[in-house]
Amino acid sequence: MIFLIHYDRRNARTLTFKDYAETERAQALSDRLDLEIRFNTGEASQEIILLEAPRREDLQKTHAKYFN
Amino acid sequence: MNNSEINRLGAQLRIGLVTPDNLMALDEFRRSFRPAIQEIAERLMWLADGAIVQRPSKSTPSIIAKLLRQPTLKLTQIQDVAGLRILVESSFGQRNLVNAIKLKFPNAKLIDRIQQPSFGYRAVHFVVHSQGKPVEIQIRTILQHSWAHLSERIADAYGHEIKYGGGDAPFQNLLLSLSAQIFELEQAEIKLYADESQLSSEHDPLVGIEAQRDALLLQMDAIQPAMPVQS
Repeated sequence: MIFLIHYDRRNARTLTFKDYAETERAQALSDRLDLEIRFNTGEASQEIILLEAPRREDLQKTHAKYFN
Repeated sequence: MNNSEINRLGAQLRIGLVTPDNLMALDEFRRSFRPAIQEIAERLMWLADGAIVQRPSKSTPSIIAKLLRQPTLKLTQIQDVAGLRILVESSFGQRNLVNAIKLKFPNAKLIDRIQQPSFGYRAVHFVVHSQGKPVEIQIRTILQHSWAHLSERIADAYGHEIKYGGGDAPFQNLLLSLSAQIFELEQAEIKLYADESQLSSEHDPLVGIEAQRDALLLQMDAIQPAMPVQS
């Protein structure tokens, strides 16, 4: 699965958490770019990232900070 | 995009030109790592017991921060734009996986952050190349990962310089002390596995190691950085 995450470092909050099937990869990439352009122009505390893992639980183990 | 264009983009990001056009160009650059990371993940699947989590591309703030920390670094020289992370239960499991990766990827560059930690951060990293692109593989034990997670939480709350030797001294000392305790415990665990006679003794010493590991995990989980950084 593909996960799109928008994390506000300053306030330690996950603002967007969206998952996509492998077949929706193009949409995930496009959505990330949209978020980047909305939030990342000049704002270093906004982390917008795509991650891939077999299951959400796997991601929760390796990238726990996004699950608040 | 050719290398000159990519490095020009890196130079613009470094001076704060985070414009929509530059973000689109960065997106194109990051997408180019997809075939490489996919190939490496598939080759690793047969070695790793735990799940492999892919980070197909580093976030924009992380890329910019790295360019700022290393003023001569070019965007094409960043080796962890794409990365994979594997968690293992024990230091013994980590050592076995590291040995297996060395065999599978004989040309991989090994970065041993267990013996040479980076401001307390311990793990084993490899940089392997596929289709002309570098991909970083991070192998962490649960304890090393829990420490890294704590360090991230503190960095998000108080500033990321804590990860590079700066920031608040009490937090620095806390992280370094925990890192040293983890190292000591994991080295003891490896020694025990190496000496089978101890493992087969009536009083299994691994029970003690596991109890200490659980206590350290609880201790790190309980630390809550409370105050966000004020802009």
